[in-house]
This record gives sequence, structure tokens and C-alpha cells, in this order.
Amino acid sequence: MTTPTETQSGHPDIGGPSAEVPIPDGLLEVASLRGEFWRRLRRNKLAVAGMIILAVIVFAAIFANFISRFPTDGFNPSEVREGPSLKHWFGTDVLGRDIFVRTVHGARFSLVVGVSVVSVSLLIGLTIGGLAGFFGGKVDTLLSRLIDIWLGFPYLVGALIIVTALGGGKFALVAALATFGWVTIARLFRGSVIAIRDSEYVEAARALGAGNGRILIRHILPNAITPTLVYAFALVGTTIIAEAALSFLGYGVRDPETSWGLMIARNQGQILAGHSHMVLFPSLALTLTVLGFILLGDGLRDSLDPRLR
Amino acid sequence: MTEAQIETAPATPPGEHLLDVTDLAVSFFTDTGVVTAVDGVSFSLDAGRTLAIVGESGSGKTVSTQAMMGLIPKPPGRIMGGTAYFRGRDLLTLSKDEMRRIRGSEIAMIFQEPLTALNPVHRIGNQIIEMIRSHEEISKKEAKQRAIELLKIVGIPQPDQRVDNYPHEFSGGMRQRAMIAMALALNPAILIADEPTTALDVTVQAQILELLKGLQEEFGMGLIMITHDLGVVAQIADEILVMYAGRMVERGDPEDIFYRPQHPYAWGLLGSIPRVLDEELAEERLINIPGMPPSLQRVPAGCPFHPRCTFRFEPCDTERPELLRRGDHEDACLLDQVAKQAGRAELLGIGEAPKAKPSRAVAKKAGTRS
Amino acid sequence: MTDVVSRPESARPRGGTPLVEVQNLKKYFPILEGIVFKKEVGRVHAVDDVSFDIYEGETLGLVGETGCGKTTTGRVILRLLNPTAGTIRFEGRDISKLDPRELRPLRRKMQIIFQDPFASLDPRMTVGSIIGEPLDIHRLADGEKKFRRTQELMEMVGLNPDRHNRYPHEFSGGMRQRVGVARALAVEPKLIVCDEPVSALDVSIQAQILNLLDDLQKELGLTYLFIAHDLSVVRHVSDRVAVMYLGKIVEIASGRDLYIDTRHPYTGALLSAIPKADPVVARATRRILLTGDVPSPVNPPSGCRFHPRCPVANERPEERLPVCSTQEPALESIEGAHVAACHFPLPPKAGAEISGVHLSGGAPSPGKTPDKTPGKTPGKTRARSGGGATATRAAGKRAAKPAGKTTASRARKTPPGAR
Repeated sequence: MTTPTETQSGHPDIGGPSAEVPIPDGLLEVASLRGEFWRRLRRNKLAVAGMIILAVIVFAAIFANFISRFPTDGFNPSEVREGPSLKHWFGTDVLGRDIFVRTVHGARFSLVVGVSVVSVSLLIGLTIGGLAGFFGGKVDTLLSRLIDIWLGFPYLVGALIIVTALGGGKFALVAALATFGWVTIARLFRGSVIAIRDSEYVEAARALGAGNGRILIRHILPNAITPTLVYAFALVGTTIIAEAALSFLGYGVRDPETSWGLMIARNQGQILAGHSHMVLFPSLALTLTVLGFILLGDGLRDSLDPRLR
Repeated sequence: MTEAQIETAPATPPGEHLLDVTDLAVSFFTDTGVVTAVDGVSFSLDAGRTLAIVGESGSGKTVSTQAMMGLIPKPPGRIMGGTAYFRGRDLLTLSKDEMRRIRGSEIAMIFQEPLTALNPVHRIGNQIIEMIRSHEEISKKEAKQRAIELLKIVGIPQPDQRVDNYPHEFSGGMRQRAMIAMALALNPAILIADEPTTALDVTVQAQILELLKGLQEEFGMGLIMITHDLGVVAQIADEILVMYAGRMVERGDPEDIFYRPQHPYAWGLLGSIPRVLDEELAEERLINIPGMPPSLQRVPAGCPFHPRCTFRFEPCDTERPELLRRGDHEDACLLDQVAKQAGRAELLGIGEAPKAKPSRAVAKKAGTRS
Repeated sequence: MTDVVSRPESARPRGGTPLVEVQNLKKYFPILEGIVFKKEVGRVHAVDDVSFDIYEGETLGLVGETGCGKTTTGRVILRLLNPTAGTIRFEGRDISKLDPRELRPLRRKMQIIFQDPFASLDPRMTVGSIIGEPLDIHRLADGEKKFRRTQELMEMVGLNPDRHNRYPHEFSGGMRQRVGVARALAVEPKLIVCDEPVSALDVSIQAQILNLLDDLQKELGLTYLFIAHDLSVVRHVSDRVAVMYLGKIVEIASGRDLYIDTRHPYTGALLSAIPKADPVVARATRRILLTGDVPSPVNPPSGCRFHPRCPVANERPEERLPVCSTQEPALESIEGAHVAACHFPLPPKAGAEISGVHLSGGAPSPGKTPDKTPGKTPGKTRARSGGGATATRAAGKRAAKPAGKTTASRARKTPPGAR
């Protein structure tokens, strides 16, 4: 009973008879949604690479305190500016602090900021986009214009202003970045919702007597969220970069908080002095992390692709 | 090869059919398994005649014709065997280029959805012109004249104006006609129509079927009609081929198939449609073929229909039925003749020699005659 | 009411009122243009003044081609769309203007089965939760009770209950359609609108679903509004059939009368166009070929909507066209329950010739129940807008019971020796 066959009008995902691609007349046995998803994800080499990278970073972030033997802060004049060695894997900086330790703590910081920002952005964006897409009409017009205006603001400059206005620090950083992060999410989600709200299964739910709330949460959200979710992954990556940029410019966090951007900013002068390791490692970490998120996001998009529909 | 042809076509000497397909077999090798789409299908077509290939989803009817046209992507598809002789050449062995030359000019195809053949961003006229000129050396002007002629033949009003329309400016029925015009542009010997009217309203469908019949008569084309609609088949077919799970299960002329069907699947098909032509039977409960057509990756052993067949008996699950011939009527069922008649009578209530007279209903109810 | 005699056994009139009464129903869709401020530049007259009744326990077929408004009609009756004008009564109560909150309890009584077994099921929900959802919505059962009810429903429609946590895409079209049926049954409705429930299925699967629907109707006493474009399927399942063209009803008759005693030329054209699954009959029946395509309901023709394509009107244009192109015909009683809207209806028994129906030799011709005479009308008159409408309505109301013959043949619905 689990062997599906195409309906006579042509199975939707395979399409009708065409001059290019003939369809094998029998459909293949299809596994469960989740099983299929993992299988495809595993086959996507880039996505797997992304997952590995992220796994490493996340591991480092979680176990930061256990990995490092050295403190993140402090003044260690005897070991200043040392290059990478067996003792200090990534070397030390101008104050003698172990760079490996600081990089690992930087991972924790970046991930926390990234995930927080994206979570808040998702909260705001899904709500606004969802309402706009679902209700349409005047609500949509209003909210869409709001989104458009918001999009007009330059991202970094705006974030900068907000951070300054809020007096700096982690909270300000998250708030500033989230203020701009929700916009694209809203737009994406709105588009998906519009595409789905006229689906027949939504109509079926209405015919059953379901109210708007139930329809939005049980039917529209799970089906519309995929592109947004994929984007959210990439957003973590770009947020981390943005945070690094802000910190680089001096508007992010300050010492002794460890942020990759801060490390790069503070130590860029050392490159010419021959101590480029101080900048190299945080930069590498930053690049790899963002890459990991983007690869995974891409892989997710391909695996979640409703080709099963 | 000649031997095989003689065996399957005793009535006409080989080489005389316009199209002669023998033991065609096509499989698809996918990463979840092998799909046996077509397994040993044979049929022939003469000029001016209509062959209808009937089957439900997964029967292999579309793949059969696509194999003939060279439209199967070679991985994952593969022609596992058989021949398809057309004008002295085996289509299955031709190169891509040779097939391309034949497609459109000698064998043309129309589909269920006209927009698969008609490019929405080009004008109809230009598409026809391009098609003509890719096969023949004539000027644009002449080609356009031909295009207008063609549109006229297929019954599109004001062809000289509509030739410059885009596909979306045509209604559904008109688009079908335009697609037919394009298919006829080079005067093909064979026209393959794959569910051409399934998506159309019934009144439009009637028009298109009339058109096809008329064109066939006028141009002497051979027509292969692929459909699931038994009504369409009854109306236009000269010969009917019933397919199931990639195999042929029955072949014969319309009277054979409708009044003397031999294969239990054919009985089931005929019994599944409401028999509105008979007052008594119009609201009779429909015959239910239990279960579903099998996956072509796991076609049942022996007779592919046996798991769903009420009349199966011992050898059906191990022995693959050979095609049994009685005149021009052949079927692939292991039941003997008496059992077939009895089964048919039991299921459909039809005896041996029905004719369409008002008293047919009475003859039916009179029951079986061996 | 003498009408009771000829109605299918399962139907018992509740005080004589039909389950559903549709009166002068209209549904127009505006066509908007403009970028910022949309302006209405036209309307699609999807349903244009339609009236009919549905009696409890019967199956009313609604048939027509693209653009005739049958699907819209079904949707409006269920209040999935709001009527532009007219009234809909369910169990005697006017539901045309109820707001969503008031409508919700009503949803337990009327349900719908969709055409596309693919699109009508949420791909991310398991089949079990899809079927159980109405139980949640109406708070009918939860936990163990809900699970058991879901299992019960699955069995009722022929699905293996063990498969309740599979997803729709793991099932074939026919199976998915059964899920849709189970879902509709969960709330124990009285009326089910079947919107082309078998059009997307293979022929042999169609038969399974049609038989299932028939069984369920007998078992649960359901009433069906069966919408389809395939006239033979509609004929098979329906007690009465209403034919629609371009937003209007052109004929209502019992299935039998529709095929044998067709009166409206459009119905005739439909019958003629249907390919007959019988080679000799197919080639012998009279052909009525219409010209052109089905027109769009945006700018319907004046007078009788069918007049531009009507073979009868165009047969004697000087005599008939002036009437047909200016005056819209009302649904008038042909004989008893059979009504048609035509100025020049087809002659009696013309249908048999067109449809190719073999009159059963020897069986008695189903006479019309003698009580269905126009004389009965007065008692049923209700206040109605428009003079012509009154006569129509009264006649339409009696377009209820199938002729006696049909009851008898329904009783014969046993599988002829099949499993």
C-alpha cells in the first residue's frame, strides 16, 4: 500500500509528458520525509563540509573553558608577541595573552551574538511577514511599505548609530543588529505565506472550521518556513561578520571581551611588524565560521527542496 | 529479425506495415532500482489507420512511443530489446541526428498540454515556420503561407491574423489545434497523440477528435492515440492495445475488445466505467479492481496482474503468459477459452455475440452462452 | 407529501424542508486593475442567479464545463466564498450572511471533498493528524478517544489504520483521496460537497472511490452535492442532475430523464460530445458539434447565454435568434420534476438518440408519478422577488424526487458477482 503511482493527469513534480524528459511510468518507493531529508543532506558534500566546520566551532564555543589552559586576559610580559609554538598554539599577542584561548572564546562570543540576533530577527520578521502575507489588503500594504522604508537604511551605519545610542556592550550590539536583520526575513516569509495561503489544504482547513490562528501556526508556518530558515542560517554568518566589523570599527565590544573583530582591529598594526599570526588566526576563524553557515544553509535548501511534493 | 516479424504479423508479410514494433523493452536504471517501464510490447500500424494504446498510470503506454521517437534519455533509460521498423529502418538503432530528422517530419507527436510543444514567448506562426525551415529549404514567405494554410486546416478562424498571435492568446482548444497544425507542418506519416484531449472540456474534445479523424482521412496518416479514456478509444480506434504494468495484455479491434474482451484486466477496466448506455445498468455498482497497479520496479512474477485478479489460478504467479492469438485478437492470460467466457459473463454480463441493437440489454441479461 | 414515495429509502424529510435551499444565488468576482489603487473594471459572473434544492439523503449532481460556475456554487454553499447576492438555507436556516464565528458550528454539518488528492492534504502532516484535525477543531475528542476515532475512520474508508503516521506523499492518489474522505467524515456531517472527487484518478481507482462514496452514503445517511464535468459519472451517482452553463442552470432532471428525455440543446450537445464506450453506438449516434470554445463568464451573451453556439437557435435564425438573443429563458417544468430553461426545447425522447441509450427492452417505462401535476403548485408558493422567478421556484422545488423506476434500480445495486 505504500507504493505510490502517478495520477492520470500527471504527477505534479514529474510533470506531464514532454518532449524532453520522459517519465518512468512508475514512481519510486519514497521514504519518510525525515529520512529522505537526511539522506540528501549527507550526499551533499559541501553541506557536509559546512556541518563539520560548524561542529568544530560549536564544540569549541561550548567547551571553551575546558579547552584552554591559559586565561583570556591578563598581562604576561614574559611571553609577549610570541609566534605559534607548542605551548601557545596560536602564539601570543601584545599583552602576552594566548591567542588560541582568545580565539576560542571569540567563537563563543560570535555564536552567542549571531544566534541571538537571528532569533530576535526571526521573531520579529516572521510575525510581520506572516501578518502581511496572510491578511493581505491594507495590512499588507502598510507592513510592506514599512519593510521597504526600513530596507532603505544603510545597514552598518544604522547599526552603528543604535549601538552608540544604547551605550555599547553586548546587549546594544544584539539590539542594533537585530533591528536590521528582521527585514529580509519578513520579506521572504511574506512571499512564502502568500504562495501558501491559497493552497487547497489551507482551504480544506477552513472548510473544517479552523480559525486563522490554527491555520497560521499549524498549516502555513511549517510549510512556509523553509526558505526563511535557510536564509536564517546564512544570516548567522553575515551577522557574525557585521559584529566583527562593528567591533573592528570600535563600536562593538571592548576589552577584555574577546571578539574576533576586536582582535583583528587591535592587532592589525602587528602585521607589518612581522607578527601577523595575531591577525591571521582570528581572521581564519571568522572566515571558516561564516563559510560553514553558508554551506550548511545551501545544503539545507537543496535537501528541504519540496521535490517530494 | 525477419523471423520474429513473421511470427508476430502473420496476416501481412513483413515490410508492409508503416510501423512495426516488436518486443519493445525499455528500462530505467535509477539509484533506487531498475524500473521496467516496458516489457515486450509489439504492435503495428498502417497508413490511414488508428491504433489506440490504452492503459492507466504506470502502464508504459507513454514510454513505448517515446522510445520509438528516441525521446528516452539514455541514462537512466535504456532500450533493453526489440525493434521498431519504420520505412525500412529500425528506429531504435538510429543515431541522434537521424532521429532528429525523422521527428517532426516523418513522425510527429502531440501532447496533453500544448504548452509543452508551444513556446510561450514566440508567435505561433514563427514556431511553425521555424519548424518547417529546419527540415526543408524554403523561404520564410513560403513557410508562412504554409503556416496559414495549416491553421486553416485545423479550423482556426482568421488564420492570416492569428498566425501572429502568441500561444497565450489562444484558448485551450485553439492551442491544441495550433499544436496539431505544427505537428502536421511537414506532412508526417505517423502522428502520435499522447492524451491530447484529456485536459479539454468534453465539447472541445469532441471537436478535436473530429478534427484528428478528418485530418487522418485527408492525409492518410497513421495515428497512434494514447489514452486512458475508453470512450475515446471506442470512437476512433481501428485497433486497440491494452497495456498493464509495462506489458501488453490484450490487442484487437474495437468490437473484440468491447464485446469479447478476453483478459480479466480488460474486464475490470470496462466494468469500472459507468455503463450509462444501458438504462438498467447505469446505476449498477461499478466493478472494483482491488489494490493498485504495481510499482514498475517490482513487477509481480508470472502474470503482472495476478495479485489483483479474481480469476487467478495456480500457474498465474509463476508462469508469464504468452500472447494467445485468435485471428487478430490476442491476449495474455492463462485461462482457457471457456473460463474466459465464463469470467467475462460473470463480471460484465456479456455473452458471445452482442450487437448494438436496442434489445442488446435483453441479450445481456439472458446470460452466458459458451 | 406524495413525493416521499419515490425518494430513496434513506431520505426522510424533516418536516418536508429540503436540507439545502439555494435561491437566486449570485457570485461575481471583481476584475481589478491598477497598481496602487485597484479599480474594478469588470466582473466575472461565475454564478448568476441560480436556484435549486438538495434533499436529505439524495445525491444531486452538478455538471458543466469550464466556466459554468459549478465549483463556485459548491464553494458558496459551504460559505467558503461569500455570496454576492441570494440566499442559502441549510436545514431551514439562512446561512448566507453568517459571520465566521457563527459558521463554525455549521462546519460540522457540511463538509467538502476536494478534487486534487495531492494539494488538499497538508504535506507536512501525518495522515492520522490530518484525519484527526477536525476532531481537534471542534473539540470532539482527544487523546485516546481521538486516536480510536481516527483508526475507525481510516478503516471505514478502506485505509490500513497502521499507516496513520505516514505522510501523504507516501500514498497513491486513490489512497490520498480516501484520506480526504475520512477527514470529511470525522465530524459526522450531513452534507458533503464532492468537488470533482474522482477526476484526477485512474479509471479503476475511480470505481473504488465511487463505490466507497456510495457505501458511505447508505451507511451514514449522507447527502451529496456531486460536482463533476464527466456526465456519465454524474449520471451514475446522482439521483438528480443539474446542468450548468455560464453561471446558469439550464436543466435539472433525474439521471434517466437527462439521458433519454434531454430537453436543453446544451445538454444535448454535452451528451453527444461524450465519447461512448461502445464502438458500434459511438459510431452510430447523432453528433451535435458545437462551434468555438466555451466562452468566458466575464461578458456573457445577452438573452439565453447559449444562443451563439446553440444548434437549435441557429437552425432557424430568423425565427428563433431574435427571441433567444434577447430574452433569458426561465427554468420551466417539462414534466413533473424535470425542468429546463429554453425557448425551443428539444422534442421528447430526443435524448435517447443523442446519448445512445438502449431502452431496456421489455421493462416498463417509468411513468411519472401522477401527483406531480402543476395543480400542486399553489400550496408551495412563497414570496419571491421577480414575477418569473416565482413560477421557476415552484417548479424547481418539485424537481425533487427521482421517478419511481430509479428507486427500483437502486435497490439492485449489488456487485454482479464481483469480489
